[in-house]
Amino acid sequence: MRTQRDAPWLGMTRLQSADDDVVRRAKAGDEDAYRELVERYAPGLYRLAFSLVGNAADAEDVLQETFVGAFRHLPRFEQRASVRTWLSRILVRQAARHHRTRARLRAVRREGPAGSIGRSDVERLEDRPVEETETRIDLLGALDALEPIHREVLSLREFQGLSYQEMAEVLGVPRGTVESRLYRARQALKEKLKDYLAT
Amino acid sequence: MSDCEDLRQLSAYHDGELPPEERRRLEAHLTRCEACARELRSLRRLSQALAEAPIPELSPEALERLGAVAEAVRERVVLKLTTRLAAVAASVLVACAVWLSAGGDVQRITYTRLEPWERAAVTLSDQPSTTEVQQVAQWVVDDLSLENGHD
Repeated sequence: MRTQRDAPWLGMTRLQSADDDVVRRAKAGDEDAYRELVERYAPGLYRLAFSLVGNAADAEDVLQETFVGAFRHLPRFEQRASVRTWLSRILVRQAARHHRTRARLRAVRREGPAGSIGRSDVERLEDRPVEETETRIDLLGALDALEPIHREVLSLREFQGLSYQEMAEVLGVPRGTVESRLYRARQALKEKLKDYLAT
Repeated sequence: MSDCEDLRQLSAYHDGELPPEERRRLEAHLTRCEACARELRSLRRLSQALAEAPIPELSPEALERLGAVAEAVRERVVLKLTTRLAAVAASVLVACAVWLSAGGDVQRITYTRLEPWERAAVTLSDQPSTTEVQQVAQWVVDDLSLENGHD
């Protein structure tokens, strides 16, 4: 899905202007503006959430927590970053919190190691039609098995279409760090896929 | 994977994030380096596969639930803001009341009990004084009058 990244600069300016108007109305308490923000950004952010947490139920929870947190702090949002960057930053943090919680629960329940392929497979089997799981499960399983910092940059780039500068703002790291992480993330994902193809 | 030093830049080139001069240099290199050209094709296939990843769409029901959550948060935010404004207004009123009761800049008028001769001295009356105190007061007033040469 390539939308924002490929839009001409004039289109981006119009989009940013429309976003600014919606945020301004939301800050003024306009209930339609809140819903408009959800409708405009939820579908794209859901893909990001799913790629980060690996299943539909958790993705919806993370997405909900993202919007709750965003709206609570809306009065303090100064619109220096785009709305998409701002929401993506909140979502990445919520997903990281989700992973920490899941890791603690896993330790308590004495389940398999983090990113174990078997558990990810089971979770995704519950979300998708049976005929899709066998042929497509390897890619998302490989993504789920990556280190969190690699999964984050890949998801932000491939599912959100953010620029390196936007990703730097979301993750709070220098642009050069984004570039090197993305390079290593892609190499790591290709290695994981090699393992999947071998089994 | 090739050991070519330009491999690391291929990721940024693939994302369109290289400065123009670097992009031109790498494009010239790609015409000569099969390893880099192969790696670039690999990156493009990977991105294509991720774009086609079977991630489910957000259902209309889930979107509706999110909208309801947004509405609930909006109401809480507005209520919180309204409550805070009311609290600030109330604080200002209380502060003003405390300030006024403490005196502020208004001079307090105090009343003290007058002595009998003082009261008599300032009382205008055509009736002759009856008590001794009043008589003394009357005498003081008369002595201090202009007729006796006092200013």
